[in-house]
Parts: sequence; structure tokens; C-alpha cells
Amino acid sequence: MEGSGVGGSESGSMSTVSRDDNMVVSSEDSSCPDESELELGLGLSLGGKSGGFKMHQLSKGGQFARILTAKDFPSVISAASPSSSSSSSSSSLSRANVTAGTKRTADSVAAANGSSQVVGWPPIRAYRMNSMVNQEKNLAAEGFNSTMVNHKSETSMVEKTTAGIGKYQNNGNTKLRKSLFVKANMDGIPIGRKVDLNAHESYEKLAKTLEDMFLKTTSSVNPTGSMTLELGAMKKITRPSKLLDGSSDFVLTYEDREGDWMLVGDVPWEMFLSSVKRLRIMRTSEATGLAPQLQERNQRQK
Amino acid sequence: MESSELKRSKDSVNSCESARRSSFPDEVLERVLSLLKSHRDRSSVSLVCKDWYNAERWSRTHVFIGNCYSVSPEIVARRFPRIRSVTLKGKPRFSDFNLVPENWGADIHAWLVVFAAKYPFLEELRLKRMAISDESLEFLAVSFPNFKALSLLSCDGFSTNGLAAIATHCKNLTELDIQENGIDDIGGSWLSCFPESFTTLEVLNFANLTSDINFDMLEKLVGRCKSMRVLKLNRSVSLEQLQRLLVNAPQLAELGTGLFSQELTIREYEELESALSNCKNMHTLSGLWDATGMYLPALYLACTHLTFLNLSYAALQSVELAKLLAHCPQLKRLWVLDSVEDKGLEAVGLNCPLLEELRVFPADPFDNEIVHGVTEAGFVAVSFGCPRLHYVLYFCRQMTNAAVATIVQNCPDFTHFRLCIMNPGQPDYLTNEPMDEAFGAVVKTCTKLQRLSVSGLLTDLTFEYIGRYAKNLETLSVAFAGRSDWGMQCVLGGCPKLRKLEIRDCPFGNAALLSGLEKYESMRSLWMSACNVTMNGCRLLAREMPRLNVEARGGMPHHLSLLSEMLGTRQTENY
Repeated sequence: MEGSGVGGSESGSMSTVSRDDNMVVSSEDSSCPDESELELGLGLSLGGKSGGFKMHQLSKGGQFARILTAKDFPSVISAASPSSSSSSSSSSLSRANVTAGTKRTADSVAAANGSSQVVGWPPIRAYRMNSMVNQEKNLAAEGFNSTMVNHKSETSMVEKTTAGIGKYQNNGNTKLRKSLFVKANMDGIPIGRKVDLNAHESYEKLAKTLEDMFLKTTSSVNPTGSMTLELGAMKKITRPSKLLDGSSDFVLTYEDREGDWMLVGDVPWEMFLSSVKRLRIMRTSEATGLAPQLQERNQRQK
Repeated sequence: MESSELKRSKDSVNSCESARRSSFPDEVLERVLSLLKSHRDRSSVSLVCKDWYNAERWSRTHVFIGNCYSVSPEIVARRFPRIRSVTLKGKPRFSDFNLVPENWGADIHAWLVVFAAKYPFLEELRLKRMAISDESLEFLAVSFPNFKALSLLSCDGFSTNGLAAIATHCKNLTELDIQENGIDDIGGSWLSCFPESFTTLEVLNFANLTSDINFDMLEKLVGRCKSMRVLKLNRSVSLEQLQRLLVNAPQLAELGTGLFSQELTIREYEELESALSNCKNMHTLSGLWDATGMYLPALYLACTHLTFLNLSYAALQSVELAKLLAHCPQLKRLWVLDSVEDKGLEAVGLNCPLLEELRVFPADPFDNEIVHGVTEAGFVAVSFGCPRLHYVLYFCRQMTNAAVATIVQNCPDFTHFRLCIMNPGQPDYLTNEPMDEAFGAVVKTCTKLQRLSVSGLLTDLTFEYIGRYAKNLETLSVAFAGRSDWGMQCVLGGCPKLRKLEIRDCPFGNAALLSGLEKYESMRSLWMSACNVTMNGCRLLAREMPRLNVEARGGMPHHLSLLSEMLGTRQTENY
């Protein structure tokens, strides 16, 4: 993830230039592109006409909308631009990289985690970056074990309340679990969300949250200070879990540990928690492999 | 006859001298000047006249060198004979982000050799972005019998073996502060090197390290160092161990916990809560790795007098943060991860009216696939609730000109405004315009502004604003911004107090570089990388300004690092 220091230990000469020196210039200086190349306008793609960035506004509420695709940058060098639209914002970087100098592209693509990045950006100290990487790994690892852990802590909590020690009281049956965040995407919406499965106790609640996330607009703060909740003219979900009962255009599916895509709702909740890797709100028309399951379920519910 | 002549001449000499000195003996002047702490004041004082220059140099005990290449250790030692404390900064700041090659320099050893000869009574050494080897640390440990305080921030080149040398030999050590360094963590045995008779430690910060330490040794060490006021543990220390330490050190003023996540029984939880709440002097809390809602309530009672809370290693959610902040009414400084989202920042605005500093770091800076982090809304919410805010570092994925205008209207006292819109060159996401007006508002409204980091889509207009309005600006960081040389020329032509300018990936070229010749004399450093500056431009600059250290890497992308001021010449090694 940390790109190697630009120029790092490989080529590139260094001269200390001061009046007293004999203008010591290493022979590698010849590898330096001649000045006409260097005078390329840098960053015009970024600093240039704002038309360089096309804003596709998804919804009136100004939900995340920096979706740039390769077609926004006709001359982008493909080496640095990944195919998925999610990283397309970085393809704008690769364009800048090209005009800045030939080695830049290689450097920025060299980042270990596979997505195209600019070296040293965003400006966060290497130490902090490393800590974050470790943290991600720890949380991911713990997530799958959380089911077992939860039982133990629930027991402790129960003991506590029955013993009547007042201070550490929880309201009702709020369970203190570790988080289990998984990514959730909906077909047709390029930007996904993260959902804490352990904050939900059932499929119904999960589906409701997902519907809130993907089918309603978000609130936004009016810059002049007043908080305005902008509920778009979206269909209000009047009955629960259209996603679960097969009556909407979408179905809720999940990828399990083996990489298979399954319909959400068929196995007990706890078992689901231990095998789910991520969620996808899939168009019913696309859920062909799952169609038999869908039909089965529809029949069962009739 | 002769005697009266002699007497007269003596009298006249005396009256001349006393007129010159206005009956102000050196000793008195030195005594008065010794009360001056600020190095800037001292610099001013030394310029008054020769007597004052001398009095100042004899009375100075702490020297601050912001750029280790601006002056040689010999010159420092010659001018200031009585130094007991040294602060040295080395590499350009962009080395933190891997933009400076390895083995660039800023090695402390040459300084230590001179200090060992000239300042054998040296007590304190504080280094930032210097290269320091284990050999140097060992040399330090044995050369200065009075050595008391070592602080290393963002340094590299050493391992835990170097720390072992310090622990072994520095009998009078009061402070060992190891922060965010590129340290080679071989193991935790260094801690066991403190002798059993050793009791003077007041500050111990090893949060940077990851290896396990011998907890028994740590417990004993903390137990016998009764003056300890700062203790920052590393991840390897568990909650249960933390409780045991706190029981013996309730006097702690600053605490950095270890891992804040562990299976605890009810009783263990209560003991922890109790131990934490017994720390009545605690004003700073950090660490809290992997902290989740589960055990945060144990902190509630301990937070009553907290002024600095560093949650930047705990990915809290908004609700968890809100609950915690309800117990932190005195908070002045808060560092968080953007996992708290805008809702969490709303809670900041509601609960922390005394807040002066906010830093929001990105928990997941490279994941562009999901909606997460904070937006302009969070920042605005904080500005409404925290009118005393003057220091902000804010990483976000979207921003608007209008939001920034509102923010600075609410908080006009900003001294440090560091905004990082993480996608380079991104415009106002609502209007699609450049972010020029945002930073224009900042510099027009915040007259006390000392430090500014800009981001987003910026034309030269931003720099026109900065040059014209930022009268107190000392540090400016620019990335992926500007349209032409004019932008940089505006900054160099304005900003009377500019000291540090760092620029990367901007279309500024030789004309801009060379427009700042006069300016560079009063600056500490200039960094330019991946701009349009050429080797010839650098040569021209060096020729025009012989007293500057000009450094240019010929390879691509271009690095120009202008380490200015006075006389030092860098010893380049492997180039």
C-alpha cells in the first residue's frame, strides 16, 4: 500500500548544486528527460476546465456522486486505469501522472494492494497507515469469531443483571457484540455501503436497514446551517422486507465463504452470520441461478 | 600631576563604559535574559547590540534548530556554550509520505560527536525526522552522564537495541518518548534493561512498538517510579494488565492504554473502571486500540477532566463516540477516525463547547467503493458547536465552498487549517466549481492563520487570495493545484511571514521558482516535487542564491528541496 519512495533507491541522480561546486552532475543526468518534455503542462487535466470532471448526481440529496468512467478521459493511459468504475476516480490521477513524467505511472500503480494510487497520498504518516492496515485485518479476523464470543458475553451480562449489581445496566436486551461489518452493493448503484450485521437481530431488520440505505435519500445539512431532511419522492416502504419475499424487482443475496451466491433468509440467522462475506441486492432478473430457490420460497409463502 | 591625570583618564574611561552599559552589568542582563524561553524572542534579543548578543548566547540553555542543514554543529557549539537541551528537525515533511528517498541524510551522529565534546552536560535531545542508528543511541547513552530526556518523533534507522542502550546506561533518565518512528522492533527486552535501582522515569511512551514486553518488569518499573506522569503503552498490554498498572500509578496525567479489547469478567471490568476513575489527574488519554462500545463505558468516570482524547486508533461508530463524549465536557483536543461519520461529529459539536483542536483521520483511505467517512456536514456541525476551534486537520471525500465559508464564519480564529479532500483535484461537489472560494474565505476571515493545507480543484485564484490576505501564514502545503506559474508567484510575492512551502504535483515551473529569490532568504525550506521545474532552473537558482542549499534530483519525478538559510553545506553520500 505504501508505494516505494519516489525514485527510491533506483535510478535518478542527485546533485547538490551550489556556487562552490563545479556543478557536479552525475552521468545519470542524461536519463533525465530533456526540458522540452518537462515543460508539459502538469495537472491541467485536474486544474483545467471543470468539464474534466463530469458530475453524475445520483439523487437530489447529493449522495455520493463522483462517478467517472474511462470515457471521461479519452486519452487516459490504460496501464494505470483499472476497469471497474469504482476506481475510476483514480484514472484521473493516472492522466495527471502521465503528463508529469514517465515513471510516475509505474510508481503509482506499484502500490501493493492492487488499486491505482498516487504515492504519498493521501498524506498520512506511514506509521499510521500501517496501524490501520493491521486494524482492518484484526477486525476482519475477529468478525467471524464474534458469534462464539457473543454467547459468552451475553452470559456474563445475564449473570450481572440477575445478581442485581446496578451500575452496568443495559436497557432491555441490548446485546453488546463486536461489529461484523460486511459490504453491501445494489445492482445499478456503483457506490456500496457497509452494514454491521451484528447490529441486527434478524433478517427482517437487516432488510429494513438495507432498504433505508439504498432506496431512500440521505439527510443533508444545508450550508447555511439549518438541518434539512430531504426525503425524496421515493416510495415509502409500507410493509417490511420486500427484499425478502420476492415481491420486488430485487432480491437480497449474499456471498458465502465458499464464494457461492445464496439467497438471504434460508438458513438460521446465526448460521448466516458465520458464513456471510458480503451482500448484494440483485435484480430478480439476474438471479437466475437462484431462481429455483426463489420459486420455492414464493410457493412456501403462499 | 601624573596621578591626577591618570585619575582623570580613568574616570573618563569609567564614565564611558558606564554610559555605554547604563550601569547594567553582564550578570544582571544574563539573568534577565535567561528568563526568556521562546527561541524567537531570543533571536530578536541577540540582534539588539553586541552586549545583548553575548548575554543572550551565554544565557541560552535550549537551542531549537528547525532545519539541521541550516547550520553546522560546530557553529552552534561556538555560539552557545551552555546548552543543555537540543531540538533538531531534519528531513522535509514529505518524507513522512515516502516522497524522500532512503539515505537522504539528516543523520544525528555528527551532531552527537560535537555535543559530546562541547556539551558533556547535555540533558535533553528532541529529534524530529532525523536518521539515528543504534550506534548513535549507544554513543548518546554513554557520553552524557546527566542525560535526562530523549524524544524521537518520525525518526528512523534504529531498532529496539538502541533503546536497550538508553535504558541500560542513562541513570538519570526522566523521559523516554518514542513516537511514530520507523523503528525496527526486534523485541521487547529493552524494557528489562532498566536497572532495579532506577526510579526517576517520569515519561515513558512506547506506544510505537509492537513487540511484547515483559509485563512483570514493566509493573515493577512503574511501581517504583513514583513521579511518573506520562505512560503510553503499546498494543501488547492487555486490559487486565492495564488495571494492574493503574492501581500503582493513580497519579498519571497522561495515559495511553494498550489493546482496549479483551474478554473480561464483570469483576475485572469493575476493577478496571475503578482503577481508571482513580486517576484524578488524568487530562490526556490515547491508545485505545480496537476499542469498541463494549468497554468504553469503563472510561466514563475517568473522562471528567480530560482535555485531550486521542481516538485515532479506535474505529468507533457515531453512537459510541456520542456516548463517550457526553462524559468529556472539558475536552479541548480530539483526534478521531472518520468511522464516526457526520453523526459522530454532530455529537462533538453538541458535547464539547471548549474544543480547540479537531483531527479527523480516514479509517479506510483507499476504499472508494463504499460510502463512508465524513463530509462537509460533519465539519459544519462542529463549527456551530465549537466556536473556539482553531486547529483542524480534516480528511474527507467531499466538500463545498459554501460549507467552508460557514465554518470560518463560525470559527474565525483558525491558526491551523488543514483540509484534505482525498480525491486530488476534486471540485465543489454541489456546484462543480473549483474550491477557490473556500480557501479565499479561510484566508480572508482567519487573520491569525499560521498554517494552511489546501486541496481539491484549485485555480491560481486560490493563490492570489493566499498571497494577498494570509498575512500571518508561515506554512503552506499544496498538492495537485494551480494552473500556472502565476499561482506560486502570488504566494511568494505576498505572505510576508512565509517560512515553509511544500508543493507537489502542481504546474509551477522555473519562472515561479525564480520569482522567490528574495523570499527564500527568510524561509526555512521549500519543497517542490513533480512540478515543472527543470534542472537548469535549479542551477540558475543556486547561482543566484549562493547561500542557499539547493538540492535537485535529476531523475523523474523532479524533487527540488531547497534547504535555505545561512551556511550549511550538505554532505551528500551515496549520490
